[in-house]
Amino acid sequence: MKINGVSIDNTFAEAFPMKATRLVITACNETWVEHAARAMTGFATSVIACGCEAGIERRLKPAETPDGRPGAAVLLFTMSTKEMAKQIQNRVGQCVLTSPTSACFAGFDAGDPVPLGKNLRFFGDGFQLSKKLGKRRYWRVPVMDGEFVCEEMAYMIKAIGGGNFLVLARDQAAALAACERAIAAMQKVPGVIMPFPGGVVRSGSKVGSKYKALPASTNHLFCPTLRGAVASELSADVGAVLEIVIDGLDTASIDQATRVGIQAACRGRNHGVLRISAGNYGGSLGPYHFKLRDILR
Amino acid sequence: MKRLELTLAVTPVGALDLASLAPDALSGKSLDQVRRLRLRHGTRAQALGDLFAVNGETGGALALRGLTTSCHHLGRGLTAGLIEASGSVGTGLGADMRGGELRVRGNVGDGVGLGMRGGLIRVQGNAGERVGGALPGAVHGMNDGTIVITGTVGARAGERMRRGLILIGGDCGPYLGDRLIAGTIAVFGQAGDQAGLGMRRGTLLLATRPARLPDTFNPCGRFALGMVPLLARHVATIERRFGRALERFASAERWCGDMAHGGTGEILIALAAEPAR
Repeated sequence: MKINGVSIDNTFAEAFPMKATRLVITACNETWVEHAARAMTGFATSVIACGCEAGIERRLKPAETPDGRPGAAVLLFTMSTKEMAKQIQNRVGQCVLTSPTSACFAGFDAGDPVPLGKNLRFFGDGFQLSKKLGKRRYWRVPVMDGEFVCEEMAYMIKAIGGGNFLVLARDQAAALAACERAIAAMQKVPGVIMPFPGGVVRSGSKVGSKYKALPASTNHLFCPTLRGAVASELSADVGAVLEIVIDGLDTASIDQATRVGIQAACRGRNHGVLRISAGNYGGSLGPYHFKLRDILR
Repeated sequence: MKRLELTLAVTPVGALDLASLAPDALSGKSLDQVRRLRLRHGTRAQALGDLFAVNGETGGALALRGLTTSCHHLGRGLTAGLIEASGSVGTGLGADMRGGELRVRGNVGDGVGLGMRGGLIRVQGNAGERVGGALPGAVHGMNDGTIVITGTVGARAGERMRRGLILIGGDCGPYLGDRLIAGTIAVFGQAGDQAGLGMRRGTLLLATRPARLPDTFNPCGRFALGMVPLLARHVATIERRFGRALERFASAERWCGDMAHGGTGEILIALAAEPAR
């Protein structure tokens, strides 16, 4: 299979079950929404060392948020319910509660409940107030610029992490430009995040390492500088490989993001992209297999 | 939609107890069975068919027409379904209600929603005293649900209220939120004296500055509180014009109190109100 002259490998991305929640962050204007949302989703590229994977799903207009202010929907993915509760408490507590004018709400109406304001309220040192509106309870924590409003519970659903594809290009600049096009297109797909910096990862990993302490190490078969040292997956004309990792709320969202991402990466003249591939572990570890050719057909 | 219509055909002599009339209790009964139901009227029980003209069919909403102030306890303990009533209604409307909806076009007596635990009461008219208060002998008043009164209400609305929402379109009598434990009461008219006296937690929203607040309330300043837009949006889903009216509280004066009872309650006065006292 080829798209605009780019060869699509007959392979699949192997992905894993995760837990996900959506939080809605609002503030007085877009600038402060961005500060809070970026802080909260910072250092959240991989569960390997960050505890969660997180990103901004999309920006919200005032009409779309509970309190009628500008906002952002962020998605958090973790491997367990316990870790989700910990990550929400730490990240909302340190990055949203602290951000001027902010408020934080649950982005899902149903699922497994996980504490949001329920624990953060104790920052109010006894001066916190609750307000139950319909079936939702909100906490009002007095802070130095007024009060921090936070919904009591968020809701967690089953989700998928680790969807991916690899862009193999003539050189680093071509690979990066292709990934930038892909990310711009993928950011329009609801229900997915690309958690790495700018949505792109250059240090694709494999499971395990020669060093016992490391759970993951460099994907040496896709490192162009090792072409002469290992049984490389790269032909001689490949100068750089970049990966886009996708976490999504369901398989359809990841399918859609993969499709638009690859199509965008292969778009244009003299794009320098040679192959599209995907990362997997032979299919033995993750139950979700995103077959590139099936998705693009 | 199925609808059972009961039109009062006599002038009650003494109290007429309507507590047993609920859509789910009447569901599955034939009109003859409905007519044979016994209602307490004065000192005796009387067949419903002797008091009301019965039309329509059971299994849906219940509509009562031509009620008078002698008709008490309408919707008491209601758990589900819709009751619509027109005319004046006596005391205890929706007392101990747990779900469903009660709509009344007309004035109602004292004790609307006493001990209410869920559901929605809408009164297009005025109400008497102790709206959302406590049932006799109970420690707490209303414990959940929503009461909407478009007109005025009497004294002690929200007395010992534990949770829930009361919206009052007109004026209210003195001692609004008396010993309020928690919950929210909004008054879009003029509140009487001593609003919030003895309140522990909860929120009173007053569109107009009351003549006098209890001395045990302290001013905190003027704020745009993040909670107000959430409340306004929620209220707009119940009564759109009250949702819009709450936008007046986008910037509000906050008083905390009752300082003699912990001081974690609050009174918010819309800044469109008159100058500070």
